Amino acid sequence: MASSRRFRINRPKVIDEAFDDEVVIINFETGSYYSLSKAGADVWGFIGAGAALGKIVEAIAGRYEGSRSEIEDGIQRLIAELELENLIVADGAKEPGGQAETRAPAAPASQKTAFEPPHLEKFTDMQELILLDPIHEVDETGWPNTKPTSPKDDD
Amino acid sequence: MTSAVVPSVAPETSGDAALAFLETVSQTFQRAEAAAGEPIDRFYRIGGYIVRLRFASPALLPLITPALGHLAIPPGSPSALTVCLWDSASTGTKMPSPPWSTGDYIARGEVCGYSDRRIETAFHIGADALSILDKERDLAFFWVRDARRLPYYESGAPLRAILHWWMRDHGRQLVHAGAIGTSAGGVLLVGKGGSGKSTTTLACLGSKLLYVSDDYCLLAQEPSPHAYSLYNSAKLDAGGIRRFPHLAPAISNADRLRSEKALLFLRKLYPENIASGFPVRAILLPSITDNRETAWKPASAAAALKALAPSTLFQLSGAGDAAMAAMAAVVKQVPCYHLELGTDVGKMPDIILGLLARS
Repeated sequence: MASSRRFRINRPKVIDEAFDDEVVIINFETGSYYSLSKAGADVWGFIGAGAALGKIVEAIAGRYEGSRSEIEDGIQRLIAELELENLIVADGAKEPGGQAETRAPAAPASQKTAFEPPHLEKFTDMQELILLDPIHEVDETGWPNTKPTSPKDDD
Repeated sequence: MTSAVVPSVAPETSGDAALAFLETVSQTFQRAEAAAGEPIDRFYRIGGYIVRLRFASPALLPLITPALGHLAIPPGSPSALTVCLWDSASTGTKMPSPPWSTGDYIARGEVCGYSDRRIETAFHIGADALSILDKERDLAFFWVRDARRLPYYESGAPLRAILHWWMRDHGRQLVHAGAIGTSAGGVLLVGKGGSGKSTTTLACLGSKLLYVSDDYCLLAQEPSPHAYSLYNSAKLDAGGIRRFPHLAPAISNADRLRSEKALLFLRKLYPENIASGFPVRAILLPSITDNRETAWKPASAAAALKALAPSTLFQLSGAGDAAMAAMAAVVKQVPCYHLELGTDVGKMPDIILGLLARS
Protein backbone atom coordinates (compact mmCIF):
# COMPACT_ATOMS: atom_id res chain seq x y z
CA MET A 1 0.00 0.00 0.00
CA ALA A 2 1.64 3.27 -1.10
CA SER A 3 2.50 5.62 1.75
CA SER A 4 1.07 8.58 -0.20
CA ARG A 5 -2.39 7.03 -0.34
CA ARG A 6 -5.03 9.08 1.30
CA PHE A 7 -8.57 8.26 2.40
CA ARG A 8 -11.62 10.11 3.53
CA ILE A 9 -14.56 9.21 5.71
CA ASN A 10 -17.49 8.14 3.55
CA ARG A 11 -19.79 11.00 4.55
CA PRO A 12 -22.74 11.51 4.65
CA LYS A 13 -23.43 7.77 4.66
CA VAL A 14 -21.06 7.45 7.61
CA ILE A 15 -21.04 9.60 10.73
CA ASP A 16 -18.86 9.36 13.79
CA GLU A 17 -18.33 10.69 17.26
CA ALA A 18 -14.99 10.75 19.06
CA PHE A 19 -14.48 10.22 22.78
CA ASP A 20 -11.23 10.36 24.72
CA ASP A 21 -10.26 6.79 23.89
CA GLU A 22 -12.92 5.52 21.52
CA VAL A 23 -14.68 6.41 18.29
CA VAL A 24 -18.25 5.37 17.57
CA ILE A 25 -19.03 5.06 13.85
CA ILE A 26 -22.43 4.60 12.22
CA ASN A 27 -23.03 3.41 8.66
CA PHE A 28 -26.48 4.45 7.41
CA GLU A 29 -26.07 2.40 4.26
CA THR A 30 -25.93 -0.94 6.07
CA GLY A 31 -27.37 -0.21 9.50
CA SER A 32 -24.14 -1.41 11.11
CA TYR A 33 -22.27 0.53 13.74
CA TYR A 34 -18.71 0.23 14.95
CA SER A 35 -16.25 1.04 17.66
CA LEU A 36 -12.54 1.76 17.46
CA SER A 37 -10.30 2.33 20.45
CA LYS A 38 -6.66 3.16 21.24
CA ALA A 39 -4.48 3.21 18.10
CA GLY A 40 -7.53 2.44 15.96
CA ALA A 41 -9.27 5.57 17.19
CA ASP A 42 -6.10 7.57 16.46
CA VAL A 43 -5.91 6.16 12.93
CA TRP A 44 -9.55 7.12 12.36
CA GLY A 45 -8.82 10.64 13.53
CA PHE A 46 -5.85 10.94 11.16
CA ILE A 47 -7.94 9.65 8.25
CA GLY A 48 -10.57 12.24 9.08
CA ALA A 49 -7.89 14.93 9.06
CA GLY A 50 -6.83 13.86 5.58
CA ALA A 51 -3.42 12.45 6.49
CA ALA A 52 -1.67 10.18 4.01
CA LEU A 53 -0.94 6.59 5.00
CA GLY A 54 2.76 7.24 5.53
CA LYS A 55 2.03 10.14 7.86
CA ILE A 56 -0.44 8.03 9.80
CA VAL A 57 2.13 5.29 10.34
CA GLU A 58 4.70 7.89 11.39
CA ALA A 59 2.32 9.47 13.87
CA ILE A 60 1.20 6.16 15.39
CA ALA A 61 4.83 5.06 15.72
CA GLY A 62 5.45 8.29 17.62
CA ARG A 63 2.67 7.52 20.07
CA TYR A 64 2.93 3.76 20.59
CA GLU A 65 5.72 1.33 21.41
CA GLY A 66 6.14 -1.30 18.71
CA SER A 67 8.16 -2.30 15.70
CA ARG A 68 7.67 -0.29 12.55
CA SER A 69 6.55 -3.35 10.59
CA GLU A 70 4.07 -4.37 13.27
CA ILE A 71 2.57 -0.88 13.27
CA GLU A 72 2.47 -0.69 9.47
CA ASP A 73 0.82 -4.11 9.19
CA GLY A 74 -1.74 -3.27 11.84
CA ILE A 75 -2.68 0.02 10.23
CA GLN A 76 -2.85 -1.42 6.75
CA ARG A 77 -5.11 -4.24 7.90
CA LEU A 78 -7.39 -1.76 9.64
CA ILE A 79 -7.58 0.49 6.59
CA ALA A 80 -8.41 -2.48 4.39
CA GLU A 81 -11.20 -3.42 6.78
CA LEU A 82 -12.54 0.14 6.91
CA GLU A 83 -12.60 0.18 3.10
CA LEU A 84 -14.34 -3.18 3.00
CA GLU A 85 -17.05 -1.86 5.32
CA ASN A 86 -17.38 1.27 3.14
CA LEU A 87 -16.55 3.46 6.11
CA ILE A 88 -13.73 5.15 4.23
CA VAL A 89 -13.01 5.62 0.55
CA ALA A 90 -9.81 6.40 -1.32
CA ASP A 91 -9.31 10.12 -1.68
CA GLY A 92 -7.76 11.30 -4.88
CA ALA A 93 -6.74 14.67 -3.46
CA LYS A 94 -3.08 15.35 -4.18
CA GLU A 95 -2.50 18.14 -1.74
CA PRO A 96 -1.29 16.82 1.58
CA GLY A 97 -3.79 17.19 4.36
CA GLY A 98 -3.83 16.54 8.07
CA GLN A 99 -0.39 18.01 8.62
CA ALA A 100 -1.39 19.84 11.74
CA GLU A 101 -3.01 16.74 13.19
CA THR A 102 -0.08 14.40 12.59
CA ARG A 103 2.45 17.02 13.65
CA ALA A 104 1.39 16.56 17.27
CA PRO A 105 4.52 15.79 19.26
CA ALA A 106 5.34 12.14 19.70
CA ALA A 107 5.07 10.79 23.22
CA PRO A 108 8.35 10.39 25.10
CA ALA A 109 9.50 6.75 25.00
CA SER A 110 8.73 6.33 28.69
CA GLN A 111 5.13 7.40 28.15
CA LYS A 112 4.40 5.34 25.07
CA THR A 113 1.92 2.53 25.44
CA ALA A 114 2.40 -0.78 23.72
CA PHE A 115 0.96 -0.90 20.23
CA GLU A 116 -1.87 -3.37 19.82
CA PRO A 117 -3.16 -4.12 16.33
CA PRO A 118 -6.34 -2.03 15.95
CA HIS A 119 -9.57 -3.96 16.11
CA LEU A 120 -12.73 -2.74 14.39
CA GLU A 121 -15.64 -3.87 16.55
CA LYS A 122 -18.77 -4.27 14.43
CA PHE A 123 -22.40 -4.37 15.63
CA THR A 124 -25.25 -5.50 13.40
CA ASP A 125 -28.03 -5.86 15.97
CA MET A 126 -29.98 -2.82 14.78
CA GLN A 127 -29.86 -3.43 11.04
CA GLU A 128 -33.51 -4.43 10.90
CA LEU A 129 -34.50 -0.91 11.92
CA ILE A 130 -33.23 0.53 8.69
CA LEU A 131 -34.57 -2.10 6.31
CA LEU A 132 -37.08 -0.90 3.77
CA ASP A 133 -40.59 -2.29 4.05
CA PRO A 134 -41.43 -4.24 0.93
CA ILE A 135 -43.83 -2.76 -1.60
CA HIS A 136 -46.12 -5.57 -2.71
CA GLU A 137 -48.23 -3.48 -5.05
CA VAL A 138 -49.41 0.07 -5.66
CA ASP A 139 -53.01 1.18 -5.86
CA GLU A 140 -54.61 2.83 -8.88
CA THR A 141 -53.29 6.24 -7.81
CA GLY A 142 -49.73 5.03 -7.35
CA TRP A 143 -49.56 4.85 -3.54
CA PRO A 144 -48.05 1.65 -2.13
CA ASN A 145 -50.47 -0.94 -0.89
CA THR A 146 -49.05 -2.96 1.94
CA LYS A 147 -50.17 -4.84 4.94
CA PRO A 148 -49.23 -3.12 8.18
CA THR A 149 -46.02 -4.59 9.52
CA SER A 150 -45.07 -5.10 13.10
CA PRO A 151 -43.07 -2.31 14.67
CA LYS A 152 -39.38 -2.58 14.03
CA ASP A 153 -38.47 -1.71 17.54
CA ASP A 154 -40.26 -2.58 20.69
CA ASP A 155 -39.27 -2.89 24.23
CA MET B 1 -37.96 -7.01 4.16
CA THR B 2 -35.50 -5.94 1.53
CA SER B 3 -32.29 -4.14 2.16
CA ALA B 4 -32.05 -0.52 1.20
CA VAL B 5 -29.48 1.67 -0.39
CA VAL B 6 -29.64 4.58 1.94
CA PRO B 7 -28.16 7.97 1.46
CA SER B 8 -28.37 9.38 4.96
CA VAL B 9 -29.56 12.63 3.49
CA ALA B 10 -31.82 12.47 0.46
CA PRO B 11 -30.24 14.44 -2.37
CA GLU B 12 -31.65 17.87 -2.99
CA THR B 13 -32.46 17.23 -6.59
CA SER B 14 -35.87 18.70 -6.74
CA GLY B 15 -36.66 21.62 -4.48
CA ASP B 16 -39.37 22.79 -6.88
CA ALA B 17 -40.87 19.31 -7.04
CA ALA B 18 -40.98 19.08 -3.24
CA LEU B 19 -42.65 22.47 -2.98
CA ALA B 20 -45.13 21.64 -5.73
CA PHE B 21 -46.07 18.40 -3.99
CA LEU B 22 -46.43 20.21 -0.68
CA GLU B 23 -48.91 22.57 -2.31
CA THR B 24 -50.83 19.63 -3.75
CA VAL B 25 -51.04 18.05 -0.31
CA SER B 26 -52.09 21.35 1.25
CA GLN B 27 -54.91 21.77 -1.26
CA THR B 28 -56.00 18.18 -0.74
CA PHE B 29 -56.24 18.77 3.00
CA GLN B 30 -58.37 21.85 2.38
CA ARG B 31 -60.71 19.76 0.24
CA ALA B 32 -60.87 17.08 2.91
CA GLU B 33 -61.57 19.70 5.57
CA ALA B 34 -64.39 21.18 3.48
CA ALA B 35 -65.81 17.76 2.68
CA ALA B 36 -65.87 16.61 6.29
CA GLY B 37 -67.53 19.82 7.38
CA GLU B 38 -66.16 20.73 10.75
CA PRO B 39 -62.44 20.55 11.49
CA ILE B 40 -61.37 19.73 15.02
CA ASP B 41 -58.47 21.49 16.71
CA ARG B 42 -56.47 20.10 19.63
CA PHE B 43 -53.60 21.90 21.34
CA TYR B 44 -50.59 20.42 23.14
CA ARG B 45 -47.49 21.75 24.85
CA ILE B 46 -44.73 19.53 23.48
CA GLY B 47 -41.12 20.14 24.42
CA GLY B 48 -42.12 23.58 25.64
CA TYR B 49 -43.76 24.54 22.34
CA ILE B 50 -47.45 24.80 21.56
CA VAL B 51 -48.47 22.44 18.80
CA ARG B 52 -51.88 22.54 17.15
CA LEU B 53 -53.31 19.39 15.60
CA ARG B 54 -56.04 20.17 13.08
CA PHE B 55 -58.14 17.15 12.18
CA ALA B 56 -60.25 17.36 9.02
CA SER B 57 -62.57 14.66 10.39
CA PRO B 58 -62.93 12.78 13.67
CA ALA B 59 -61.56 9.51 12.23
CA LEU B 60 -57.96 9.97 13.34
CA LEU B 61 -58.79 11.72 16.60
CA PRO B 62 -59.00 8.60 18.84
CA LEU B 63 -55.94 7.11 17.15
CA ILE B 64 -53.59 10.07 17.48
CA THR B 65 -54.58 12.01 20.61
CA PRO B 66 -54.47 9.45 23.46
CA ALA B 67 -50.67 9.18 23.38
CA LEU B 68 -50.40 12.98 23.64
CA GLY B 69 -53.27 13.45 26.08
CA HIS B 70 -51.06 14.26 29.08
CA LEU B 71 -49.68 17.27 27.19
CA ALA B 72 -53.04 18.71 26.14
CA ILE B 73 -53.70 22.39 26.85
CA PRO B 74 -56.80 24.51 26.36
CA PRO B 75 -57.35 25.96 22.89
CA GLY B 76 -56.60 29.52 22.00
CA SER B 77 -52.87 29.98 22.42
CA PRO B 78 -50.91 30.79 19.27
CA SER B 79 -49.19 27.64 18.09
CA ALA B 80 -45.56 27.31 17.04
CA LEU B 81 -46.37 24.36 14.79
CA THR B 82 -49.61 23.30 13.12
CA VAL B 83 -50.13 19.74 11.92
CA CYS B 84 -53.04 19.02 9.60
CA LEU B 85 -54.32 15.43 9.73
CA TRP B 86 -56.81 13.49 7.67
CA ASP B 87 -57.56 10.22 6.00
CA SER B 88 -59.10 9.66 2.60
CA ALA B 89 -61.62 7.05 3.72
CA SER B 90 -63.56 9.18 6.19
CA THR B 91 -63.36 12.42 4.21
CA GLY B 92 -63.99 10.87 0.80
CA THR B 93 -61.05 12.85 -0.53
CA LYS B 94 -58.63 11.04 -2.78
CA MET B 95 -54.95 11.89 -2.45
CA PRO B 96 -53.44 12.75 -5.84
CA SER B 97 -50.83 10.35 -7.16
CA PRO B 98 -47.35 10.69 -5.72
CA PRO B 99 -44.99 12.46 -8.12
CA TRP B 100 -42.26 9.93 -7.38
CA SER B 101 -41.85 6.32 -8.47
CA THR B 102 -41.70 3.22 -6.28
CA GLY B 103 -37.94 3.18 -6.74
CA ASP B 104 -37.67 6.49 -4.89
CA TYR B 105 -38.67 5.01 -1.53
CA ILE B 106 -35.64 4.59 0.66
CA ALA B 107 -35.18 3.54 4.25
CA ARG B 108 -36.57 5.43 7.23
CA GLY B 109 -39.55 6.53 5.15
CA GLU B 110 -37.45 8.94 3.13
CA VAL B 111 -38.43 9.71 -0.44
CA CYS B 112 -35.48 10.43 -2.68
CA GLY B 113 -35.45 14.03 -3.90
CA TYR B 114 -38.39 15.33 -1.85
CA SER B 115 -36.63 16.78 1.17
CA ASP B 116 -34.59 19.94 1.12
CA ARG B 117 -33.76 22.86 3.39
CA ARG B 118 -37.38 23.92 3.54
CA ILE B 119 -39.41 20.76 3.13
CA GLU B 120 -39.17 17.32 4.73
CA THR B 121 -41.10 14.42 3.22
CA ALA B 122 -41.54 10.83 4.38
CA PHE B 123 -43.87 8.02 3.44
CA HIS B 124 -43.78 5.11 5.86
CA ILE B 125 -44.84 2.13 3.81
CA GLY B 126 -45.69 -0.17 6.73
CA ALA B 127 -47.86 2.47 8.36
CA ASP B 128 -49.23 3.72 5.03
CA ALA B 129 -48.66 7.24 6.29
CA LEU B 130 -47.43 10.38 4.54
CA SER B 131 -45.71 13.10 6.59
CA ILE B 132 -44.63 16.46 5.19
CA LEU B 133 -43.27 19.51 6.98
CA ASP B 134 -42.88 23.01 5.59
CA LYS B 135 -40.24 24.50 7.89
CA GLU B 136 -40.75 27.97 6.48
CA ARG B 137 -44.41 28.05 7.49
CA ASP B 138 -44.19 25.74 10.55
CA LEU B 139 -46.94 23.75 8.90
CA ALA B 140 -47.10 19.99 8.54
CA PHE B 141 -49.45 17.44 7.00
CA PHE B 142 -50.13 13.86 8.04
CA TRP B 143 -52.22 11.71 5.73
CA VAL B 144 -53.26 8.09 5.78
CA ARG B 145 -55.45 6.32 3.29
CA ASP B 146 -57.77 4.83 5.90
CA ALA B 147 -57.63 5.70 9.60
CA ARG B 148 -59.08 2.28 10.45
CA ARG B 149 -55.89 0.69 9.12
CA LEU B 150 -53.47 2.78 11.15
CA PRO B 151 -51.15 0.31 12.90
CA TYR B 152 -51.44 0.23 16.68
CA TYR B 153 -47.81 1.20 17.13
CA GLU B 154 -48.46 4.46 15.28
CA SER B 155 -51.14 5.26 17.84
CA GLY B 156 -48.58 4.61 20.56
CA ALA B 157 -46.07 7.05 19.11
CA PRO B 158 -47.88 9.25 16.59
CA LEU B 159 -46.38 11.89 14.30
CA ARG B 160 -42.80 10.86 15.06
CA ALA B 161 -41.36 12.06 11.77
CA ILE B 162 -42.99 15.50 11.87
CA LEU B 163 -42.16 16.09 15.53
CA HIS B 164 -38.59 14.90 14.96
CA TRP B 165 -38.03 17.29 12.04
CA TRP B 166 -39.57 20.32 13.66
CA MET B 167 -38.20 19.82 17.16
CA ARG B 168 -34.70 19.20 15.78
CA ASP B 169 -34.71 22.73 14.43
CA HIS B 170 -35.94 24.06 17.77
CA GLY B 171 -33.34 22.58 20.12
CA ARG B 172 -35.09 19.30 20.90
CA GLN B 173 -33.82 15.95 19.68
CA LEU B 174 -36.33 13.11 19.55
CA VAL B 175 -34.57 10.05 21.00
CA HIS B 176 -35.42 6.41 21.48
CA ALA B 177 -35.21 6.28 25.26
CA GLY B 178 -37.26 5.79 28.36
CA ALA B 179 -37.15 8.43 31.08
CA ILE B 180 -38.12 8.23 34.77
CA GLY B 181 -37.18 10.38 37.72
CA THR B 182 -38.32 13.13 40.03
CA SER B 183 -38.99 16.77 39.34
CA ALA B 184 -35.42 17.46 40.48
CA GLY B 185 -33.92 15.11 37.93
CA GLY B 186 -34.21 11.73 36.29
CA VAL B 187 -32.54 9.07 34.24
CA LEU B 188 -32.66 8.19 30.58
CA LEU B 189 -33.00 4.48 29.79
CA VAL B 190 -31.28 3.64 26.54
CA GLY B 191 -30.90 0.51 24.48
CA LYS B 192 -32.46 -1.47 21.70
CA GLY B 193 -35.87 -3.12 21.93
CA GLY B 194 -35.89 -5.91 24.48
CA SER B 195 -33.10 -4.47 26.60
CA GLY B 196 -35.45 -3.71 29.49
CA LYS B 197 -36.38 -0.05 29.09
CA SER B 198 -40.08 -0.75 29.49
CA THR B 199 -39.55 -3.22 32.32
CA THR B 200 -37.63 -0.60 34.25
CA THR B 201 -40.05 2.21 33.47
CA LEU B 202 -43.19 0.27 34.28
CA ALA B 203 -41.73 -1.20 37.46
CA CYS B 204 -41.43 2.36 38.77
CA LEU B 205 -45.05 3.38 38.12
CA GLY B 206 -46.85 4.20 41.32
CA SER B 207 -43.60 4.86 43.19
CA LYS B 208 -41.99 8.21 44.02
CA LEU B 209 -40.62 8.26 40.50
CA LEU B 210 -42.38 10.10 37.71
CA TYR B 211 -42.87 8.75 34.21
CA VAL B 212 -41.70 10.86 31.30
CA SER B 213 -41.19 8.25 28.61
CA ASP B 214 -41.32 4.57 27.84
CA ASP B 215 -39.89 4.58 24.34
CA TYR B 216 -39.46 8.06 22.88
CA CYS B 217 -38.81 11.44 24.43
CA LEU B 218 -37.35 14.79 23.46
CA LEU B 219 -33.90 15.69 24.64
CA ALA B 220 -32.53 19.21 25.00
CA GLN B 221 -28.86 19.80 25.62
CA GLU B 222 -28.92 23.53 26.39
CA PRO B 223 -28.44 24.95 28.93
CA SER B 224 -28.19 21.50 30.51
CA PRO B 225 -29.56 18.09 29.53
CA HIS B 226 -33.33 17.98 29.90
CA ALA B 227 -35.84 15.29 28.92
CA TYR B 228 -39.32 16.28 27.73
CA SER B 229 -42.22 13.87 27.69
CA LEU B 230 -43.72 13.10 24.31
CA TYR B 231 -46.09 10.15 24.68
CA ASN B 232 -47.75 8.57 27.72
CA SER B 233 -47.90 5.18 26.04
CA ALA B 234 -46.18 1.88 26.67
CA LYS B 235 -46.09 -1.40 24.80
CA LEU B 236 -45.95 -4.78 26.48
CA ASP B 237 -45.48 -8.29 25.17
CA ALA B 238 -47.15 -11.30 26.77
CA GLY B 239 -44.39 -11.61 29.38
CA GLY B 240 -44.77 -7.98 30.29
CA ILE B 241 -48.52 -8.33 30.75
CA ARG B 242 -47.92 -11.23 33.15
CA ARG B 243 -45.25 -9.23 35.00
CA PHE B 244 -47.45 -6.14 35.39
CA PRO B 245 -51.02 -7.45 35.65
CA HIS B 246 -52.18 -4.29 37.41
CA LEU B 247 -51.66 -2.41 34.13
CA ALA B 248 -54.24 -4.52 32.27
CA PRO B 249 -57.02 -1.88 32.62
CA ALA B 250 -54.89 0.56 30.59
CA ILE B 251 -54.55 -1.78 27.60
CA SER B 252 -56.22 -0.19 24.59
CA ASN B 253 -56.12 -3.15 22.19
CA ALA B 254 -57.07 -6.04 24.47
CA ASP B 255 -59.09 -7.63 21.65
CA ARG B 256 -56.09 -7.85 19.31
CA LEU B 257 -53.31 -9.21 21.52
CA ARG B 258 -52.86 -12.31 19.37
CA SER B 259 -51.37 -10.17 16.64
CA GLU B 260 -50.29 -7.00 18.45
CA LYS B 261 -48.36 -6.08 21.53
CA ALA B 262 -50.44 -4.57 24.29
CA LEU B 263 -50.65 -0.79 23.88
CA LEU B 264 -51.24 1.09 27.11
CA PHE B 265 -51.98 4.72 27.80
CA LEU B 266 -50.62 5.29 31.27
CA ARG B 267 -52.43 8.57 31.80
CA LYS B 268 -55.56 6.52 32.44
CA LEU B 269 -54.08 4.73 35.45
CA TYR B 270 -51.40 7.10 36.72
CA PRO B 271 -52.41 10.66 35.85
CA GLU B 272 -50.50 12.03 38.83
CA ASN B 273 -47.31 10.14 38.03
CA ILE B 274 -46.67 11.52 34.56
CA ALA B 275 -44.35 14.50 34.30
CA SER B 276 -43.77 16.82 31.39
CA GLY B 277 -40.03 16.53 31.86
CA PHE B 278 -37.02 16.84 34.14
CA PRO B 279 -33.29 17.52 34.08
CA VAL B 280 -31.33 14.45 33.02
CA ARG B 281 -28.97 13.40 35.82
CA ALA B 282 -27.79 10.02 34.54
CA ILE B 283 -28.09 7.56 31.69
CA LEU B 284 -28.83 3.90 32.35
CA LEU B 285 -28.15 1.04 29.94
CA PRO B 286 -30.46 -1.76 31.09
CA SER B 287 -29.97 -5.42 30.28
CA ILE B 288 -32.17 -8.28 31.37
CA THR B 289 -30.57 -10.99 33.51
CA ASP B 290 -31.79 -14.06 35.37
CA ASN B 291 -30.41 -12.74 38.65
CA ARG B 292 -32.88 -11.91 41.39
CA GLU B 293 -31.18 -8.68 42.41
CA THR B 294 -30.59 -5.72 40.14
CA ALA B 295 -26.99 -4.50 39.97
CA TRP B 296 -25.32 -1.54 38.36
CA LYS B 297 -21.82 -0.51 37.37
CA PRO B 298 -20.37 2.54 35.62
CA ALA B 299 -20.56 2.67 31.83
CA SER B 300 -18.56 4.80 29.45
CA ALA B 301 -20.12 7.66 27.53
CA ALA B 302 -19.24 5.81 24.33
CA ALA B 303 -21.19 2.76 25.52
CA ALA B 304 -24.18 5.00 26.22
CA LEU B 305 -23.97 6.53 22.76
CA LYS B 306 -23.82 3.07 21.18
CA ALA B 307 -26.99 2.15 23.06
CA LEU B 308 -28.78 5.40 22.25
CA ALA B 309 -27.69 6.62 18.83
CA PRO B 310 -28.18 3.74 16.36
CA SER B 311 -31.67 2.84 17.58
CA THR B 312 -32.63 6.51 17.41
CA LEU B 313 -30.98 7.39 14.10
CA PHE B 314 -32.16 4.30 12.23
CA GLN B 315 -35.80 5.09 13.05
CA LEU B 316 -35.95 8.79 12.21
CA SER B 317 -36.23 10.14 8.68
CA GLY B 318 -33.41 12.48 7.85
CA ALA B 319 -31.58 12.11 11.16
CA GLY B 320 -27.82 12.42 10.74
CA ASP B 321 -24.78 14.10 12.15
CA ALA B 322 -26.68 16.86 13.97
CA ALA B 323 -28.74 14.30 15.86
CA MET B 324 -25.59 12.31 16.63
CA ALA B 325 -23.89 15.42 17.97
CA ALA B 326 -26.90 16.30 20.13
CA MET B 327 -26.97 12.84 21.70
CA ALA B 328 -23.20 12.77 22.14
CA ALA B 329 -23.28 16.11 23.94
CA VAL B 330 -25.69 14.69 26.51
CA VAL B 331 -23.92 11.37 27.15
CA LYS B 332 -20.70 13.29 27.72
CA GLN B 333 -22.31 15.51 30.37
CA VAL B 334 -23.91 13.02 32.74
CA PRO B 335 -22.76 9.79 34.41
CA CYS B 336 -23.70 6.56 32.68
CA TYR B 337 -24.36 3.16 34.23
CA HIS B 338 -25.01 -0.38 33.10
CA LEU B 339 -28.16 -1.59 34.85
CA GLU B 340 -28.29 -5.38 35.12
CA LEU B 341 -31.97 -5.99 35.74
CA GLY B 342 -32.93 -8.59 38.29
CA THR B 343 -36.20 -10.46 38.45
CA ASP B 344 -37.24 -8.68 41.65
CA VAL B 345 -38.56 -5.62 39.86
CA GLY B 346 -40.20 -4.31 43.04
CA LYS B 347 -36.86 -2.92 44.16
CA MET B 348 -36.35 -0.95 40.97
CA PRO B 349 -37.61 2.44 42.25
CA ASP B 350 -35.22 2.40 45.21
CA ILE B 351 -32.32 1.45 42.98
CA ILE B 352 -33.06 4.29 40.56
CA LEU B 353 -33.51 6.75 43.43
CA GLY B 354 -30.18 5.57 44.84
CA LEU B 355 -28.44 6.17 41.53
CA LEU B 356 -30.04 9.60 41.25
CA ALA B 357 -28.75 10.48 44.70
CA ARG B 358 -25.21 9.72 43.51
CA SER B 359 -25.48 11.70 40.29
